[in-house]
Amino acid sequence: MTKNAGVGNLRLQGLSQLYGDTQGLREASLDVKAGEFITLLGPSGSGKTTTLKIVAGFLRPETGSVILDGKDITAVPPHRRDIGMVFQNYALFPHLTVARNVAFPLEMRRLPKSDIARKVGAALALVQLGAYGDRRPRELSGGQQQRVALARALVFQPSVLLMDEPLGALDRKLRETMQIEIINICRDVGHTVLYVTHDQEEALAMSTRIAVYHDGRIEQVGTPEDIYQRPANLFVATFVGESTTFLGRIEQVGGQQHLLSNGVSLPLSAASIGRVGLATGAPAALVVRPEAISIRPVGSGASNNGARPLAAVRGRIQNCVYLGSVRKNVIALEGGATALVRVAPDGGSAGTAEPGQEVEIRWDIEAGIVVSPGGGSSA
Amino acid sequence: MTVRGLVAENGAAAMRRRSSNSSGDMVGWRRDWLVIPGLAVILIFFIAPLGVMVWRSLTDPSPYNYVRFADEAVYPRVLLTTLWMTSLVTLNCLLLGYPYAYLMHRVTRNWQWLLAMVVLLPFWSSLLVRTYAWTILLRDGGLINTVLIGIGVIDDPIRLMGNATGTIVGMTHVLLPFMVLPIIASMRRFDSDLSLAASGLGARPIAIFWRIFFPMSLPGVMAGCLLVFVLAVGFYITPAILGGRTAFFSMLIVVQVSRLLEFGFGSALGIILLAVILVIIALGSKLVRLDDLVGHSGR
Amino acid sequence: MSTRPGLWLCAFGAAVAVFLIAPSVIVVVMSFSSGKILLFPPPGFGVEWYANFFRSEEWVGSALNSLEIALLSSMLATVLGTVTAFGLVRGRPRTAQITNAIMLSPLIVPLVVTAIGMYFTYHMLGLGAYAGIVAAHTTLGLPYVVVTVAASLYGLDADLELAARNLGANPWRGFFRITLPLIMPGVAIGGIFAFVSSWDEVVVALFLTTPTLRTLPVTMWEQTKSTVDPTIAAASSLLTTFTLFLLLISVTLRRFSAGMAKERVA
Repeated sequence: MTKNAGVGNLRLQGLSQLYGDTQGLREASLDVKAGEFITLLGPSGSGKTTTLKIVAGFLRPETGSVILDGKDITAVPPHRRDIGMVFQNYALFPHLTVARNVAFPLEMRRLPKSDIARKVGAALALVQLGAYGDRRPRELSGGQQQRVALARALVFQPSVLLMDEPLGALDRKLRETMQIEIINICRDVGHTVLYVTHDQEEALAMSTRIAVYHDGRIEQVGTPEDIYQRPANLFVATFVGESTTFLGRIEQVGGQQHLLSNGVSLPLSAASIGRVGLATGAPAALVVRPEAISIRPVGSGASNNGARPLAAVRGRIQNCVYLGSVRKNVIALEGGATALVRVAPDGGSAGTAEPGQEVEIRWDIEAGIVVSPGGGSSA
Repeated sequence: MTVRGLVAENGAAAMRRRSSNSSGDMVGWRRDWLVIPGLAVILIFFIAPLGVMVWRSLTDPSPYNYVRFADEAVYPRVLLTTLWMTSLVTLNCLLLGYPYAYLMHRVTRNWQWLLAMVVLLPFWSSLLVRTYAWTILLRDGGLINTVLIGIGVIDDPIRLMGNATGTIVGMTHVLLPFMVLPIIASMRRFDSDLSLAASGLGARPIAIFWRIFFPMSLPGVMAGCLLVFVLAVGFYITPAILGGRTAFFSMLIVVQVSRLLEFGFGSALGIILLAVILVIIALGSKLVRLDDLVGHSGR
Repeated sequence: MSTRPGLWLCAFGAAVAVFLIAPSVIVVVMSFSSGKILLFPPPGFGVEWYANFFRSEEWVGSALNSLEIALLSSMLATVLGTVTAFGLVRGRPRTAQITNAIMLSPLIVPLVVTAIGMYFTYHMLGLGAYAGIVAAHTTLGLPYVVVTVAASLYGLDADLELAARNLGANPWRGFFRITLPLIMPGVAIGGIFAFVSSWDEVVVALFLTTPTLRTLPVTMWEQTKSTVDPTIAAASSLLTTFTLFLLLISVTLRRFSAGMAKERVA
């Protein structure tokens, strides 16, 4: 299969879909460069699938346009778009063999028989199903069906590939294998990929960039690191990854800016505040990732021996969950927040934590992420 | 009449399962127009004739046709007789059909298949053939009388057809499948775990049947009764062959139109029959969820 | 319900089964009688009445008429009904509701009423006996096709049609290459229903046929009233056998389509 270098620049401009039965979409805009793997991530009903349907041409947006390689295709019917799509339940044609399924788009384009045979063979080889051409879809496992769907969507060399939760129906192990396989195949072929999922781990693992959806809006577009480390707002911060969240107001305390949250004062990093541009007195939220937090029993003496300033809050362990590689502690903090801390099961004194124990949690203030409290309420 | 009615409400249920179809759907490209040819055929060849009938009943010679129906005692009386016999047929179908459906629900798969085929064969075969078959059985020199005389129960043949008995026996036979199929469908929804749970709580089998199973199968019973009743009221062939002089309302209509050439009055009687049926359906659909009428012929 | 059904229930069920089946069986037995009239038990057995049936121009002629009319009207009903069902399922819900009510109305109106209305109207439309009965039977068969095809369309994964469009099929090719083959069992069952409804239909045929154009049920009807000649038993047996054959086809088709649905879910 040849590389599709240079084509597949997709621009979505102000797409809205507010009426009708489909999940709404408000003024969604997205710029996708050729060869990018973009994941549309969000809770169900947030507008990801609507976006995909508009790009595929199944739905005409009420406002906005879809531009592919400089051409406005908003009004082009789906069968003339040359955009591949892998459906959630694969949508393999049950009455056709695997080879005929893959040949279908080529037959529709009236390619010569010999070309069709060659391309089908190549596409099936690409997904390692060369020997399965004569089978019916129902005779294949879920993972194999998934690959046939991929081969069928790729065989006519579309400039853009759409995938609607393609791994949703597979079990966890297979899903992880298929994630890697899909990335490899798409990288080889050089397609632009728009990938819909509600699984944040999948999004973080596969994408060059992620667009986070909420309530029909795109809240943030960025690399996985951007999204995880520098979320644009509280919704993104809490939807992607686990976190401990404090809501409060920024106050100046002795030359250092703090978050005052229900009587608890937490020092904030200047850099983080600067990034969101919140002034003293403004409402704000502080988000801390579990891996940044350490935990120790109250009164264990050892003080801040590092060079970097730490924030600390006291609390009581509510719950311990053993997860094999880590132990997850749920801690009820002073001021009412709940913290989530992951520690290694043999992690010294912290590993022996038990429910009811009084502890102190601490983190490097540079690891605390300040976000504006808007942009959504909860995960 | 073989397969009539059973599937009638199927569509209504299907409507409720509609897939989403938004205003901006480009794939649907307004496929509504595809219904036009079929709709046109029904409107021209079916609805228009009903309209012509209404028109005729009012103008040939005048709306007096409807007054005449009420004035001449015979017509309301025959209508009442028809409704009475229809009720008996419905009751018969229920008394025979419910235990049969219950048995079908209880037996193993292979038996179930056999019992289903026993219901489906008459359901599919010609109404006329089945009615004719009953003449062989019910005639004075027919099978039943021959046997009864042969074993000495009676000396002279008893009249089994040419009267209400013949009509009721024949119609019960013809309509029984329409009772059994909806009941089976509603029983199939019954979760046998429920009865296990009930017996776990100490309920005796008879109590389980009357307290749990029977109430849960009631929707199917109601649907079956409505279906049988509505189909039976309009019957013509079976009462005409087996009923003899015991007039069924539809027979009066045919006599008016084809023998007395009273087209206007015949039309009026037809419209009255249709109105009765629509009223029954309207009343019945208050008691029956239309979904439960989905009996299905196969499986 | 783990216990086996009781003896009384079994006996009662068996009696009902006999009640349902016995008339058909007896007709078949009688059709092989060697007696001149319908006497039970038959004095001997033979195929005389079948021979009589096939020798009689009246019987064979009306059987052929019936076959022709049933084939023609069920084919018309199948095409029209499939198209209508497609418009119903894929169109706007509001249009569908009204259309559905109208399309199914022939199932509710008693045949006597329908027949008389058609008898009046088809004369006015200038339809001859043949055209009239084909039109009538097409109309009466349409609801069956609409209902069964609509049911298969609802059971069809709508994504399959979207996938066909996405892969480059225009609406027509998508329909003929993907949708139609997948709903074919439903279309066939609907067609068989329509065929049987025409093949067995008496009342409308009584009003619309003429002495020169009779269908098989009309001939049977006339004979039932006038003679006790067992030829009619032979005709009935042939009808029942034919119907049984169609029933088996439809049961098989239903299994097939149910199987397909299951595979799609799996």
